[in-house]
Amino acid sequence: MHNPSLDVSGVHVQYGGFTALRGIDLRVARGEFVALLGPSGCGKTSLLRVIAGFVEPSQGAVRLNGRDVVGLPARDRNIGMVFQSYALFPHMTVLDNVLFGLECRKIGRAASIRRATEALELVGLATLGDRRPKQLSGGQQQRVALARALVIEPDLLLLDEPLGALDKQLRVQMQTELKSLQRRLGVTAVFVTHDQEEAMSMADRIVVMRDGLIVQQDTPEQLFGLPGSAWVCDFVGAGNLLRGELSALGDGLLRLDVAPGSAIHVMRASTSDTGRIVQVPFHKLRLKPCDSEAGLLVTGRRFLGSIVELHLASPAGAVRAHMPLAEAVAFPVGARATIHADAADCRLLPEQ
Amino acid sequence: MSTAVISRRGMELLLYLAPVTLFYVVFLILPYLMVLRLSFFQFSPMHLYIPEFTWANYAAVLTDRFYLGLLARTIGLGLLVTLVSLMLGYPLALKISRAGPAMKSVLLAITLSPLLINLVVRTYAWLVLLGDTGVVNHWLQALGVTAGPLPLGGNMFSVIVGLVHICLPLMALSLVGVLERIDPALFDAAESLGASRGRVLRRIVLPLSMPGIGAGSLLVFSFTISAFVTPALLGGNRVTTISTLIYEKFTFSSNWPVGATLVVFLLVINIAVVILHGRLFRED
Repeated sequence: MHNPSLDVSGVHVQYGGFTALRGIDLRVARGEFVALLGPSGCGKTSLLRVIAGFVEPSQGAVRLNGRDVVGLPARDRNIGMVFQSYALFPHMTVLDNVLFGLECRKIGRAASIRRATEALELVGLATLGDRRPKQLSGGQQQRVALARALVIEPDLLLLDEPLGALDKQLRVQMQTELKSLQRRLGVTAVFVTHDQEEAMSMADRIVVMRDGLIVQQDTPEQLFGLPGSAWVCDFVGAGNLLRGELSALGDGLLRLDVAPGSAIHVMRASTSDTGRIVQVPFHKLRLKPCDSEAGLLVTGRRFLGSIVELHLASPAGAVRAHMPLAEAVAFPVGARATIHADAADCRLLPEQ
Repeated sequence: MSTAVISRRGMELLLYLAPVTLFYVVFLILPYLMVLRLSFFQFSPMHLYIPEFTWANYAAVLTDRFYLGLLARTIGLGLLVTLVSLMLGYPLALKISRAGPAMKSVLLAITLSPLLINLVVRTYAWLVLLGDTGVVNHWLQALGVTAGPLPLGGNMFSVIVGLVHICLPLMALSLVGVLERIDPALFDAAESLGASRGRVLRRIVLPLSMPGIGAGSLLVFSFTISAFVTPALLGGNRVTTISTLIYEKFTFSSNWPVGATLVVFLLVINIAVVILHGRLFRED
């Protein structure tokens, strides 16, 4: 990556005896929208706070537009931040909240008001400037927080679980808005989330973190299609993970006998491929009705709008299959089925 | 059916509140009404008072420069003690509200310690410390800082020291309660927007802690203007407040009507302060 906007290298963070980050390298290009995704305790929030300047790394460097900012107080970094709780100043009006960053920059009153009004227009709240945060809905508060962070024309926008407090419908709407706004302004942005759907729908690139380390970083399409490990596959919900005895059939072809009549074939990609777990995407798993006891039992079904998700119990682990409703009618709960997949759709994954 | 429920609730409420209401009516409201009645009676050197209606006591207090000065001095003392408690208590409360759990318990215990010592014991301790031949003056002279004793005791200074000592925990606790409830993310937000520590304090912490400043000031001011033991003992007969004068009127000079009038004034000031506090620090 040439001339990145944000360049984090070798960052370690320790809180007392606890190591929150264990050597993070991350580069973010100008205008890129990056998601830090991981379960709670993975270090994603710590990384965000290191970038923001609230936590000093015990080792490593953080460069912002080429300048090393380690040791520089948060107030001098020109980073806009949106907090999970929004952190709007409750005693100030919406307009005063947005003006605050400009006031700190000693920008003239008239120019400040013009810029703050523009920022509020950007998020569609120009008419609510004299309200108090308490008088706004969650979605509106979120927009004010966004306007307040953007009005200072930050070199970098950080968002900590920005949509976590909104209900599902509003969240989806805000995802689209946030993404288009970020694209339109061309601001470099990093956001933290534990919601893989949110990461997938907004980010140009997803950085998956676990136990203080980055385990994989890719575009949403790549991450979903080619997860690097069983753990990532499971975390982003990229398909079934089947565990069992693999038998070699020659020419790199391996077979996993899930149950009598249910065999999954997979190609070993290279001799160095150490994967032992077979990944089969949910929508690539085919089912055939089976009357014998050897078939896998359909234990449940879930409508997901245009498709149906079937749950089956197997000795290799619980299995899920996505299919159109018309096909799913053949497999009511309690029915039995054998499972099949094309070898080309299956991959071998290591555990970690 | 709903009215039956409401009336049952009303009955329950009455049952719960009746004992405490009775207690306050008998031991607080009635005595105050008796004092109020007394303040409209005529003074008599022979019979303590004559139960005949008069405005004379109020006229006396409101026209006599001695009484007016006394009222002003008591209110001034209240304001000064409140101000000093606030200046000392605010940084302390900030530190307590941001300390870790272990540090917080230690600081709170130290802050509360003045309340754990008996009022009279504490007051005599200050007498021992601040007297002309007291500990402080002894060391000041022994170390050659001063030639003679400084006038530390038996004056306004020692009264203020004694009152601040008791009032500081009240002020600090009122402030800690409010400061702890401020979302720490607000400080991060302000800092990320470019605010210096001073600006965060001035624009975020101070405005959001106004309810605590109000509650603490109300407590300290009311406590101070009504305080009796501290000004009486530490003032060494040279500091007169409304409280000490009321005591004097009811005992030595036996002018009960004027004493009762002063009680009414003290009560009115306290009620006025409570109302003012409600106006100033009303939560929107």
